[in-house]
Amino acid sequence: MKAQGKTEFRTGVGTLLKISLAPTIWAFHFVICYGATAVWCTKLTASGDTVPLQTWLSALTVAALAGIVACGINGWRTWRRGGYGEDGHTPGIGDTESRARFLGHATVLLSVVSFIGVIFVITPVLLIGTCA
Amino acid sequence: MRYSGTDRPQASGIWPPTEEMLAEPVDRAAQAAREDRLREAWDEPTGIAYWTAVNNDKVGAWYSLTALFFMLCAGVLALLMRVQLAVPDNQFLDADRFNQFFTMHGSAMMFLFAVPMFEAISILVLPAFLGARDMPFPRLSAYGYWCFLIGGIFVMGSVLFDSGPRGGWFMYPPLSTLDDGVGADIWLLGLSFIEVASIAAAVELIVGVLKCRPPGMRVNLMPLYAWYVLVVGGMILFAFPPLIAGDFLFEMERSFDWPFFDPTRGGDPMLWQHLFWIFGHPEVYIIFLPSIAIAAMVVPTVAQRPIVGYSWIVLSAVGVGFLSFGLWVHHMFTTGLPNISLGFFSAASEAVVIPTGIQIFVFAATLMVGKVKKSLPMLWIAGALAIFTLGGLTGVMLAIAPFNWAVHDTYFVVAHLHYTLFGGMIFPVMAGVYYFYPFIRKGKMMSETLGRWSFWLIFVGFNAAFLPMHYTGMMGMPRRVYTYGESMDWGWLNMLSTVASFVIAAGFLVFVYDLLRKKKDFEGRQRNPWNAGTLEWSHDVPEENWGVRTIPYITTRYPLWQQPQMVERMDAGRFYLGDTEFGHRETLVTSVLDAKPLHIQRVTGPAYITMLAAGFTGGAFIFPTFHIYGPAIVCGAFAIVCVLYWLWTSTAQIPEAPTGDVGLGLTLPRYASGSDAPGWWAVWITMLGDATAFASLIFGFFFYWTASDNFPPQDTTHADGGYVAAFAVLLALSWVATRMARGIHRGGNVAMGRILMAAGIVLTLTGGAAVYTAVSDLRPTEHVYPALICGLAVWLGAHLMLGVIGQGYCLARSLAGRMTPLYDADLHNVTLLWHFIALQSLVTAAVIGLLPGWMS
Amino acid sequence: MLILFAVMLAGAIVLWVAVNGMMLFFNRISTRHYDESAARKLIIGGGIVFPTIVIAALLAWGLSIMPDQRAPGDGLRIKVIGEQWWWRVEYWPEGAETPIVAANEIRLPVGARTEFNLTSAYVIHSFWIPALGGKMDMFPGRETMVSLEPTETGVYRGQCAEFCGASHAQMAFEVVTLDTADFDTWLAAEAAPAMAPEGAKAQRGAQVFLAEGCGACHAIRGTEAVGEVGPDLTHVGSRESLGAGVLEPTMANIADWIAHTDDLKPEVEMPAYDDMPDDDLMALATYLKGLK
Repeated sequence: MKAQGKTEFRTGVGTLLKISLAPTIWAFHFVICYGATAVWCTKLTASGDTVPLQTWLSALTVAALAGIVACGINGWRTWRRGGYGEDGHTPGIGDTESRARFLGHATVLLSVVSFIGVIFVITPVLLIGTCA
Repeated sequence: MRYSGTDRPQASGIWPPTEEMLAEPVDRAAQAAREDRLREAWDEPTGIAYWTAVNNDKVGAWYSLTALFFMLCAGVLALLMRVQLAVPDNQFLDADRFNQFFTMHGSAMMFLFAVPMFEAISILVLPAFLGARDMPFPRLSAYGYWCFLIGGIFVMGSVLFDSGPRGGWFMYPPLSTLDDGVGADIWLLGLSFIEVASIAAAVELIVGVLKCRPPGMRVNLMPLYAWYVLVVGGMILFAFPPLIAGDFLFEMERSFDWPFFDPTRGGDPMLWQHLFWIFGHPEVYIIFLPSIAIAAMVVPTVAQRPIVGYSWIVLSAVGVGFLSFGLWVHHMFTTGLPNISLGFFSAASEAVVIPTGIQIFVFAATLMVGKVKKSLPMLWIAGALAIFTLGGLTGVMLAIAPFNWAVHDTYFVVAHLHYTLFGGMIFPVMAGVYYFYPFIRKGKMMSETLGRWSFWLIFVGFNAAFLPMHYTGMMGMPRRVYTYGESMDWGWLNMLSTVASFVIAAGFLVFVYDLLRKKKDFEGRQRNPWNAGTLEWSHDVPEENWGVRTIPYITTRYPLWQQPQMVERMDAGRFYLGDTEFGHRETLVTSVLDAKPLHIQRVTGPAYITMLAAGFTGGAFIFPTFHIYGPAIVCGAFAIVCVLYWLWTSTAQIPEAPTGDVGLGLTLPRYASGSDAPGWWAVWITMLGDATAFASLIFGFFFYWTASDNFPPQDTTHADGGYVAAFAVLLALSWVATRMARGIHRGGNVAMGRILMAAGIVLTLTGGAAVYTAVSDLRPTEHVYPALICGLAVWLGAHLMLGVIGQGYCLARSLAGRMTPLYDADLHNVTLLWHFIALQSLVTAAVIGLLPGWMS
Repeated sequence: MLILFAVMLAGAIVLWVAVNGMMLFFNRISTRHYDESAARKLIIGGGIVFPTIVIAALLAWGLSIMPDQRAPGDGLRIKVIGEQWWWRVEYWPEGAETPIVAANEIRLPVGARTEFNLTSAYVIHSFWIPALGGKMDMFPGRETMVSLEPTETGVYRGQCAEFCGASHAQMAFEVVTLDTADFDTWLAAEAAPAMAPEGAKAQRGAQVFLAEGCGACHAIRGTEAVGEVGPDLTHVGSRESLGAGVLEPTMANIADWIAHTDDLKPEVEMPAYDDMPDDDLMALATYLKGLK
């Protein structure tokens, strides 16, 4: 039994926050899309041409999706390590492995939702080609 | 054993306990004495001093009854409005009164009912879910409650004096900045005051969930309610601060004519809309999620089996928490923003449907595989889903911008939002009241018959009142009209809604009667009448004040179902902390992920000081409403003194012994500093919220830049670069001094530590003078640019004051011998505070010193 | 737009019945035992797969019809300025250098897309003609745009949709859509100065108008009245409503309005002339009603 000192904050919250990495990527993607559109349309283009904006944001989207997939794969591995079983009555739910499995599973699920979210958010950029 | 600042008491002994240790019988005789000691430590004051209680069950009960009272008040306002709208061209209420009423109805339901109710219920039941004795900071809950009560009465009372706010609960400028009455100030200051209390509660709830779980309750074992509390607490930290920043700007404009929202001087009313709805939309989910959390506690009990898809619920809560921050502009679809921008919010508004829907399917799946027991709470949950799904489906429709343009600000939206809030908040909370009542009133039950009456009255009344409103809105009836003409043909629909609204009211009357009526003792008195599996049902009947007899060791999600003899062992005193060696109130602090026991935390007991502090805080917010600033400043100062007194006398106390035996062969430290201590977490979380408010102000700076061609204006006065630079350097030095003081002090060099703390104070004060000089030539009433710079300076000034108080407090604690190298939590907390102050100072210096040069 | 609504409505009804039927079934009707893998399939299918597909389709559809309501106009622009609580209306035919000023009523040609440039004098309003299209907010210090293309002639009601203070409920207007030819005739008439009063009563009314100082706030082109604070009254007699959509424009209502503005429209800026003799009031009403 050793007190965990400073690492308590890092390991504790750090690991917990890991499950929300994918939604955080979604959030950054969202904010950048919104901010870039606002600045592009009000400050950078006079003609209302949106092709450069669409290109850059599509590239950003690909990067964001890659990041989310990476999170998902990472979570998938943690989840599968030691087999399935994420539900309440599985024996041995009180051990460290099952906690890790749970976090892995939650990471996978959140990655799926974030993935869908990112695709939704980029849709308007691709479908609406004007600054109006 | 002797300890030093660097060689500190450690936890030692056996962890985790073995089944044999748990199965070992307990010595009865020794238990009686322990129970007496605990009983004495947790004894509640009686008589007038009853109101000084800080126990979560008392404060939680007051809190929820007060919130219920405000809800009933707001409901009465709604009924009066319905009477006015029953027939065309009605003269029952005049326009001004009607406008006050609808403003207050919305504001009260949101700020005085929905959010406080979540906090109240959580304070009331969360410690029991977690097998904790109390919340980590009981006095903070009490302080929050008294703030809420004072602020709530002040705001709600204003309608009685015909001086209530009348600009709508969204308070759009310029209508509300131009308003002559005090109503807008009452709204801004009164509700800011309550928002501060809300954030305090959020901080406490987050720390409670992260650090006060019972030993062994890993994150994957937490009751689902705790997950929701964690997510919602986090959302409050990011959603409320933008509104507080907006309120700050708004009140500056109203009181001192700083033109943040005045388009004639470079301001922009759209900034308020952004700040308000960045708060306003997550707010809807802040209300909705905790109520669904109640459903997540009720459904497994009804199905008599663990929830199917625990991780899916967590996904859903966290996912909604994030996505809900990407919806705010759907309240601004008609403001003429570019279509692409609307598209983003349309997309996110649709995406949030997915995690929201998952919860419903998880409940359905659990009920599908379980054996459903018919019960009153489940009836309310089913009603909730019926109503909420309809509200959700109209939400999907509203998120499509072209449709939104057609029905925005009509009764269609009124119907939609009431469907989501009744289905997503009122009905689940009612389910929760029926479900938890035997826990709260220790075995007494509410009436099944009255409960059914109440349900059907509210359910039928609600649908009869609000379903037609979809159609009324489609026919073109706008929201917030105090009357309408005969020729509109809306009359019969409105009459229907009015009549039905009284049916809803009748249902609530039945409920309130049932809630408050005297219940006879023979009506049950079972400990666990629903045969639920979670820890709160291990409560003591009749009541004991200690929360739990012993803090259990948890290895399952539903310990009462899945761990043998759980309750018997808790009662017998088999588990942890079954005693209080020195007669203090104590609880266990455990680690975030795996709930490993870390140390014994002393918690605070009854006190008048919290009430006094709340009263003075109230004065500091309420006097400025009437532009009375002298007494406001005096109250503010007294409030600070009260809080300091409270911290000084009851937090981070040096313990009688460095460690204590908590039972089951485990010995834990009695003091923690730095990131081990809940107080440090509270500072961290609070400052995260504070940083969000600050970020909102900085967002304002960029917003004005993108929204205007002339920001910063061509020939304006800028902040003096030299002084800004000096300020940045001085603050950085003060920060370094504080950080160094922490390390040096812990190393044992107390004198040097004190010198550094004193140096910090001097540096901060000098820095404050520098920033004041830097902006002293600016005229904030002329244009929004100088106004925003001065606003940032005011914000900073308040933080520097806080920083100096922190530094001074540590110095004083050290001099008084209440802080030593071994017991140095205060210095750690203040250093953490300083990380945030330094960050804000440096960012501000960059924004007011460097950015204008690049922007123009 | 209508198809979109119909599809969404039908979909919503089907989904509502499906979800609640499912809850009812599992709660009350079904006694079968299901295993957990079926439950998990329900969560994945109903919670993720199905909504993602449906919503993605709906989103794409909604986004694709968005630009229609902001399409550029065919020539005529109408500038509408939200006041407390009435509408200042300026017609800018293509190439015009000065506008034709009117108030509280909008006339539009059928079959052409008319562009509305919207702004506001003090507070935020929202411009909305339910029968013709979506709403658009009006901000002080900022101009927003919406374009409408009516397809049928008729009289419609428009109103303010953003809460704007005490008389928000009383801030409406009439919209008259006309064939192009009729519209052009009307616009030419609207551009002309006011007609001279006909008959003794109307002439007396014109004197009362000037004597009472009405011209300080209201303009009647072609007379000494050039005030710009209140609505332009040059052709007030031809409008379909009175007081910004509040009353029928009868003679009695005009008199009633002048005498009791505050009763009819709370906190309105125009003072109530309740001490004006009835004769004067009726004369004034006759004069105004005659300003076709």
